[in-house]
Amino acid sequence: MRSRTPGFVGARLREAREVRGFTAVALCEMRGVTVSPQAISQYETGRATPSPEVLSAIATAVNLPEHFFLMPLRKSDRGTIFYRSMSSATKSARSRAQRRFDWLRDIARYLSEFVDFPESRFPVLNLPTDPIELSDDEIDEAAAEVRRFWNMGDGPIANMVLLLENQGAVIARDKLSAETLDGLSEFVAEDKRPYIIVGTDKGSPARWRFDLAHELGHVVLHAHVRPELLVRAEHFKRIEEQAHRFAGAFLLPLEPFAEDFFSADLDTLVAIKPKWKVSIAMMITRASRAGLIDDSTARRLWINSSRRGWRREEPYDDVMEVEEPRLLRRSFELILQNGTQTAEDVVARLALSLPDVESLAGLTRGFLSDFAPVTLRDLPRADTTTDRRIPGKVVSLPLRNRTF
Amino acid sequence: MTPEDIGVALDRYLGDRTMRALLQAVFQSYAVAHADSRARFTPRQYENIVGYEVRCQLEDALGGIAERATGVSASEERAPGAKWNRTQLRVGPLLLVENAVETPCALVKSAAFRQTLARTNELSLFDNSDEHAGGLLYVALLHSRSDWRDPAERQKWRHLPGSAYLAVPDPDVRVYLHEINLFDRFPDVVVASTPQEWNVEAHIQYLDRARKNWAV
Repeated sequence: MRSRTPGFVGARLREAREVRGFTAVALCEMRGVTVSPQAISQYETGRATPSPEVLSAIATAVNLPEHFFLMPLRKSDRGTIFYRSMSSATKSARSRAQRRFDWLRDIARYLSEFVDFPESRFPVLNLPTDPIELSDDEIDEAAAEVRRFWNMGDGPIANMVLLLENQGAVIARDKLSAETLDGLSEFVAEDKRPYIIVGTDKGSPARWRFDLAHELGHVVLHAHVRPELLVRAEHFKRIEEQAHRFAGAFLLPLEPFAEDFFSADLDTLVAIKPKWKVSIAMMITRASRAGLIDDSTARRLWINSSRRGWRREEPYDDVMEVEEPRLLRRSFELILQNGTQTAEDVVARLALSLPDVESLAGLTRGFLSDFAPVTLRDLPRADTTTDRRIPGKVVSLPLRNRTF
Repeated sequence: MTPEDIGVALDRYLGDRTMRALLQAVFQSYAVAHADSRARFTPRQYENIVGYEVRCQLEDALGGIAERATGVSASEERAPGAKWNRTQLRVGPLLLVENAVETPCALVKSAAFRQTLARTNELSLFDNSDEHAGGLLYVALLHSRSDWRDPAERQKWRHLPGSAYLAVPDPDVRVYLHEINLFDRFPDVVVASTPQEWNVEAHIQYLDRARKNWAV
């Protein structure tokens, strides 16, 4: 075996290909990659390593730094990753998503060397060990219990991303390049916190909130689920239904939602959508499953919703705020701003391209590569001789008092 | 049957939940109708159509309330010779329809169907028994446009109803035997349905204007 790049890790080449969605043949067709698909296969299986020139060409083709291919593999501490829509998602889409998920974990672990993330506060509920035995009532109660655990009351949730980040979750919004994949999550035992990626290939702000609540459902309900369980289609389907049910109960607590949903017509749902920040489709589903409306009413609402074109786009979808993750973004801002790390350090440590890091961390494109620290100017001190006992002018602001 | 008895009957059969839903429906119907009519028509046609659309929206919402509430049923009725399909809600012995009126709690205009309905108001209905022996008590959900002195305010807040009442007329529709001001009964719904920029004073004025003896 000729060894032309000492330390080359073949599995990293496979990882790079999977993330970029390249087959071995496609990679060989990229500029400068002057080797055959068989050679790529040999690199990946460790039977050969590329020359420095070929390694450089491959790194350019997949837009990753060369030392990415020299990085040791991560410890195999994989728990259970829950993929939403796994049944219809292609294997390559799942592989790509899983790789991006690993990168997200790498980024979070790197940042946690410099920044204290919020303490992880996810309740451990007393639920049946076998999730298939979970009843709908138990799921509804679990959603209520999580709200109680976090002292949330039963009102609308202003910002799902912020809520989960404050409880210690690491969240990314990422293009998963697969419309069949809405998101994925894993509770990483080693870090004692969940990681969640919400796919942004399709959807709306309300839908993405639901995706997060769905993943929270997995974290809370399915801590004991082993990957083998998800292989069987009926088990997978049931697990997904449970997470859906949890999401509905968590986002729309029954009593206040029932009070707002006073009339089973679409205009009522449109009116309350900005308050609950939940899609109309989701509200119909919740109302139907909770028994607030019967099947014929639900059917009528679905038909009328479809007639209004709301299967494609609902009212307020274009004006609702997209909830962006802040934890990783602010962590980067902090460590770069105070000089703890530089963009070069980030590349050296993570062995990822800056656009990949920016994307997963919710940073604007170019934030890392163009970063220039801002420093405080040496301003003259404030005049401390002024007598502060002299009252200033009081400016009265209109107060909004909504009580009688 | 005394007015107090009628009040007891309304509380018993409608209850706070349905009454609250009726008020929510009034607010929603005005808001949707105005937004929809304004978006579709010229200002002149908007003036022409919006009153009808408010009623259509409200009739529709009444049907939705029946689908949501236990013990409430809705039916579409058309009186002989009438051109309007009315949604009637039935809750126990109560028969409820909506009526647009000019001022808060004004008497509904005399119409054959109303008098027919009102004549069902057998005042001895509840005298001796809690059970209703097949008789009906006609209840009108009255709603009116909001009334503002300032033309700018009138233009700005016209999507808000001026009042909402439940009223039970005598058999000849000459007087209401009992009435409930839904704005006063559920001020929290009023607050939740009115502009956030309003302060307490604005709300007090709005509630005042919704009272039937309010003088312009």
